[in-house]
Amino acid sequence: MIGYVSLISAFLSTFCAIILFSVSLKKNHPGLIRFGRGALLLASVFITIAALWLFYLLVTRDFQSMYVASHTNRALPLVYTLSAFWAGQEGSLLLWAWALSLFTAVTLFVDKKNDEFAIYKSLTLAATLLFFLFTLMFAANPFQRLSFKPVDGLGLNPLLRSPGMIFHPPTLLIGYAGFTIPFAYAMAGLATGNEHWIYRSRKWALSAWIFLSVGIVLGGWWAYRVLGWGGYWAWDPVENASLMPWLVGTAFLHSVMIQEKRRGMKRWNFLLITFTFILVIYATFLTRSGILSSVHSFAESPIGIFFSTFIVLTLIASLGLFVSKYEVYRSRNIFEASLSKEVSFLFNNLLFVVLTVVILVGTTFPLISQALRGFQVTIGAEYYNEVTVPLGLVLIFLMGICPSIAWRRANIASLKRSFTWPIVASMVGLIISPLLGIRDFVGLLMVFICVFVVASHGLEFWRGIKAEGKTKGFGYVRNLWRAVQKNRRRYGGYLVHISIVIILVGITASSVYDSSRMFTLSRGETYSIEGYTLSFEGVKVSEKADRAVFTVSLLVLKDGRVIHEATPSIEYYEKMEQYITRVHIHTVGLKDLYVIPLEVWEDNATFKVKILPFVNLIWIGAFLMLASTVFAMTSSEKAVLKNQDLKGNGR
Amino acid sequence: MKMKNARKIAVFVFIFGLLLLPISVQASEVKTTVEEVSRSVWCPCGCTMLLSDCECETAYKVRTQIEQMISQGKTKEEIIFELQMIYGENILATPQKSGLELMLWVLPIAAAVGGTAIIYRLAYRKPSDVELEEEEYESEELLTAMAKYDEIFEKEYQKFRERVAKK
Repeated sequence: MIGYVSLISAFLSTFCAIILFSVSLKKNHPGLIRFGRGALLLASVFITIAALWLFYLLVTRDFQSMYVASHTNRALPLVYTLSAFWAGQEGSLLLWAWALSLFTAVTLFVDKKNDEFAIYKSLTLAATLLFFLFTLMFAANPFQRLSFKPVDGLGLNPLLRSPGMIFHPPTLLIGYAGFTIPFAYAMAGLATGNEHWIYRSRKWALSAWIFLSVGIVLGGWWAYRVLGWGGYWAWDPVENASLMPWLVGTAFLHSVMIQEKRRGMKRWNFLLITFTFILVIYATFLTRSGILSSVHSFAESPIGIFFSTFIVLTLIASLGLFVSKYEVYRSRNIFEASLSKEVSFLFNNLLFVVLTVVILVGTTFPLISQALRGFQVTIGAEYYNEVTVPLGLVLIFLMGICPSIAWRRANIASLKRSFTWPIVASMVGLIISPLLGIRDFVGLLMVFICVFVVASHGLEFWRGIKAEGKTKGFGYVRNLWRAVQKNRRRYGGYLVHISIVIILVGITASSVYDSSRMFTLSRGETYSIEGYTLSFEGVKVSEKADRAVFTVSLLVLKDGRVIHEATPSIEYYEKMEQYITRVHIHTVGLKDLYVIPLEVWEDNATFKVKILPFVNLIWIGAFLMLASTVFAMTSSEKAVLKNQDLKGNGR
Repeated sequence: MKMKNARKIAVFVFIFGLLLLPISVQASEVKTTVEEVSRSVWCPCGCTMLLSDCECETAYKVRTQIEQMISQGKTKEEIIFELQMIYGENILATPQKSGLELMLWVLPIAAAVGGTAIIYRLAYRKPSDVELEEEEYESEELLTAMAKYDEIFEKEYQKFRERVAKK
C-alpha cells in the first residue's frame, strides 16, 4: 500500500511540477518556478520511499507481494534477494525512475538558476519521469498484491544468481537514466538558444557513458562466467540494445569537442544526444518487453504500447523543436579543408552512426519480418560480425589518426611528422608477427592497426613531454606527469583509446586463436589439450535447499604435475524443472582454461573445454578504459573552457 | 635530414612488409566444417542460442545431421538449404542475400556511401565559399547579438531612470 501510494504521490507531484513550469514560461514569476522545483524534489522523495518499500518487501519476504513471490523464495541468499529488485520488469522500471528522480534532484541542487533554460531542462526531466511513473502505475506495478499469501515464492531465475547480476542491471539502468540529463540540457539549450548546454551537460554525459560502459562490460563478464558457452558477446537483441545508445553516445562525446573548439556541428550534436536518449528508451523497452526472443527477456508484457507512444512523442517534441529552431541554431561551416581534425571527426561520427543503423536494423528485423511475412527471422552473430568488423576496424584505425591531425587544415608536412613513425612501427609489427605465430590475414591486419594506434598516441605523449621540457626542463617522467595533469581531458581520452586497443587485442586473440574440444571421460581417464592434461576423478552429489548439485572433479596437469582442480557442476532446480551448467574457469596469466560440463553420470562425464588466449585483456582493458574516463572527467570546467576557443578561432 | 632518413626507413619497411605479407598469410581452409555451418543457424530447440553454442539433445542431433551431409560432399549453402527445408526458415541465423533480407546487406553500404558523399560535399569547398559563409555567419550573428544587447541596455537604462526619478 505504502509503495503504490508513494508512486501516486510522485506522479501527482511531477504533474504539478510540469503545470507550474509550463505556466512560469508564460508568466515569469520566480515563486512559480520555486514551487515547481519543490514539487519535483518532492516527487524524488516519494519515489525513494517507493523504492525503499520494495526493498523492505523483499527483505521481509512478503510473498503476498506478487513481485516478491515471482522473483524470490525462502532459500535465496539475502544478497540475491536484494538484487531481485531489478530481476523483473516492474523493479527495473522502478529503478530507472528512482535513478532519474535522484539525478533530477541533483541537477536542481547544482543548478539553482531560475531562468528559462532551467525551466525547459526541468520540464524535460519531469516529462520523462512522469512517463515512467505512469507506466509503473498502470502497466508494471511492482506493488501488486495477491489475494492469498503463498508459503514460499517461485525463486529467482538461476541464471541471475551470479555476482555479475548484482551489479550489471543497475549500472546499465543508471547509465540509461543518466543520458536523460544531457538530453534535457540539449532541449533547454535548443529552446533558449543557449550554447552552453554542452559545457553544463559534459560531466553528466560522461558519467552516463561510464555507467553504460560498466553495465555493458559487466553484462559480457556475466555471460562469459554464467551462460556457459565460452563467449562474452552473442549479438543478442538485448546486448545490441545496450550497445546502440553507447555508440551514438560515444559519437556525441567526440562530436561535442568540435562545438566546444570551433562552435560547429551544433545541430548535429543536438540530434546525436536526442537519438542517444531515444535509443536508451528503446533499449529499456526491448530489454523488458520480451518482444524479441533473447536470453534476457523473461516475459512478454503490455508496456510496449506505453514505450512506443513515448518514443513517438519524444521524437515529435524534439524534432519539432529542432525544426522550429533550425535557422536560429545555426553554426558556422567549419570545414575548411579535406585534411583536418574536423573532417576526421566527421568520419568518426559517420562510422559510429552507420554501426548503430546496422545494429538497429538487424535487431529490429525480426519485427519487420513478422509484420511483412508473418514469421520472425532472428539475425545471428555471423551477420553482425561480417558487417560490423570491417566498419569497426576502420573506426579503430581512425582512432589513430584523429588525435594527431591538425585542426582547420593539415598539410602534407604535418601529416608526415605525425604518421611516419606510427607507420614504421606498424610495419615492424607486421614483420615480427609471423615470428610470433600470427600468420593469418585478420591477425596481421589487427597487428598493423593496433600498433599504428598505440604508436600515434605514444607520439602524442612524447610531444607533450617535449613541450613541457622546453618550458621547464625537468626529467621525462615529471614532464609527462605535468603534461597529463595540465590536460587531463585530452590525455585521459588518449588512454581510453589505448584501452580500447587492449580490449580489441583480447577479443581478436580469444576468438581467432581459441581452441575447443569436446570429449567423454570415464573415472580415471585423461584427455590432453594444448599442453594441459585433464584427469576425471569423479562426481560429488550434494542436496541444497532448492537444488541438487552434481560437482565434477577434474584435475588439471601440466608436465605431469597437478596444477589445479577444476570443479564445474550441473545444478538441477526441482521447482523450476531447470538444469543449469556452472562452468569452471582456470586463469593462467592472460589465458583461460574454460571447462563446461555437458553431461554428468556416476562414472563418466562429457565436457567441452576451451582454451581462450588473451581473453583477460578484455577485462583489463575495460578497467583501464573506465579509470581513464574517470581521470578525463576530473578536469575542471575552467580548464576545459580555458582550452577551448569560444570565439571559434581554433588552432 | 632526420625527416629524410625517417622517410627512407618508412618506405623500406613498407616495401619489405608488403613483400613478406603473401608469404606469411596462410591459405584459408576451404573444406566446410560442422562449426562453420552451425554458426549460421539457430538451435531448433527454441533456446535462442546458435547451434554452435547450444549443447542440448536437439543440437547434437542437428550437428550429427550436418556431419553426415558434409561426408556426402555437400557445400555449406546446400546444407543450410536442406536444414531450412527440415526445420523451417526460422532456423536461419544469417540473412540471405535476396528478398527482404537483402536490405540488411545493402543498408550498411548505402549508409556509408551516402554519409561519405555528405562529408565530401562539406569538406571539399573552395576557399572563397568558406570566406563568404564566414562573413554571412559573422554578420548575422553580430546583428543578433547587438539586438540582444540593445534590448538589455534599454531595460537597464529604463530601470536606472526610474530609480533616479524616485530619488
